[in-house]
Amino acid sequence: MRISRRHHPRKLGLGLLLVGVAACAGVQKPADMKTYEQEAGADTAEIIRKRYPELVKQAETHHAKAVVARDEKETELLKHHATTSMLWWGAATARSHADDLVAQRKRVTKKIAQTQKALSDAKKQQKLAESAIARSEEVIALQGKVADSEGNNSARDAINGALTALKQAERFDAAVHAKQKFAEAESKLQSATKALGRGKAKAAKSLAAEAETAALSAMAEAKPKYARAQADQERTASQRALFESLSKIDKVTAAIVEGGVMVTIVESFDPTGVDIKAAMAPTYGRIATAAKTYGSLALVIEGHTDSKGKRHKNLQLSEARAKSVMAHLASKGVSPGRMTALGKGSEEPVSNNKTREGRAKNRRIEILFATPGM
Amino acid sequence: MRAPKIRTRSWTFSLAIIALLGLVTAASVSAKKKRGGEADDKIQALTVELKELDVADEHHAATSEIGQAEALRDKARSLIGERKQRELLEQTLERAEATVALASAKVVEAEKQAALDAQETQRDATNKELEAVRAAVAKLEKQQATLEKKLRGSK
Repeated sequence: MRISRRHHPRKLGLGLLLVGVAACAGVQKPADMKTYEQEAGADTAEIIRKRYPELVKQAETHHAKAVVARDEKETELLKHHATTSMLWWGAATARSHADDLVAQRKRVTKKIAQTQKALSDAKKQQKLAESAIARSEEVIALQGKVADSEGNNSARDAINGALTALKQAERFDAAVHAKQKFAEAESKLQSATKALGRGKAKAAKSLAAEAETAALSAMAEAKPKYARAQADQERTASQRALFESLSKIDKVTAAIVEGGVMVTIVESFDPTGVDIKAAMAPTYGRIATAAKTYGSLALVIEGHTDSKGKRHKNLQLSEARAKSVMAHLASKGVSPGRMTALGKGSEEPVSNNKTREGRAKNRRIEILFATPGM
Repeated sequence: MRAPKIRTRSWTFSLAIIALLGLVTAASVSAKKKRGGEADDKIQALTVELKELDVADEHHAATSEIGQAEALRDKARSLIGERKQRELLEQTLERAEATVALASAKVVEAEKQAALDAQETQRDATNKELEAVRAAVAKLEKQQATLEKKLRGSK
């Protein structure tokens, strides 16, 4: 009896210990909870958190509830919150991956543009080589029939000189920019070749010299036009890129206009205020970024109002607003020397001032990214 | 003189109790209706979203999620008005909303993936064309060099 009395509390203690251990072990984590914790703890999760805070917040809230449910051994509730948490996390992950795909697509688009430029250059080279070959083959075919003599050799040299000049002229798109002179050079070269074929070496030499002169003259005429065309092409491409980058800015309407790219922003201010609304600051921030990227362009900032109120007051208000935008852009690092601020009042409406919607459209800021030479 | 006064007080007290009970019942009924109304609104919003998603899911990226969300929505609908199942209704709606969010994200993801794939196909085709043209140019330039040699040699 004594022994059993002594052992009884030990058994009870052991039993209690086992129960305690079992209790501490708690309810097992569901697979969704484990996956969430693993994924949300990874380095890449930070980007997802930044990109989709609302979705991640939902996931975190449900995860926190799942943790509580686990502590309280509410198995069903734990399962529910773990699954829901993972669903929200999955949504955030998929959205973030979609963003990555968009960025990747942009890179591919850029690469395609580069390849297309290279392709266009290669095609031009191909065309040049084909026409040079055709001309050379024609000359060789005729020259083969002509015997070696001093006169003939001299005519051949002249013909080769004309061929080289034509080839050089073609590099500057003379067939396009100096059509007449280039056609004349080609025709004279043909005549020279034919004359040599008929044994008229002297005439051939003279015609070849004329062909060379015409080709060089075509080249001289084409050269500046070619340079202008190239510059125009580059400017258009740059303008297009600027337009595309401005179009992506929220609350902004971009358009390619005569003189550059114009952005229109409505409702940037409180009804009578001149300070940019806090909600519009990110929009102007992105405009400033674009302005800095295209640092060589001048910016013309125009303020416009609706027709309500006195004309001179509207004029003052629009100018103050344009200056406010200029100051804001300057504070974001855009050089003030590049910017001009103008107030236009209600003089240039873009919509009907009789309707509320129309007036809202008229109360606007227009920023022209002026492209030089356009 | 006192007895009628006590009776009046007791009547007033009873009336106040009845009014209070009425108020509590009305509040409870209104809260219940409100809850039911909220759930109805959520189910309606889910139905609209699911219809839109079904149309938008051109690449069948979220078929399974859309199906699951529809099943959850139907379950939630069947639970409306069941007093004892209030918690389950809330959970079902939570799950349905999260499933719709996932389905929507998957649809967007598939759309962007398809756009990227198309762009990559175009890039590959352009690269291939460029390679072919460059090879042709190299061949032509070789031919041109031979002809120029011939022209110089034919003097």
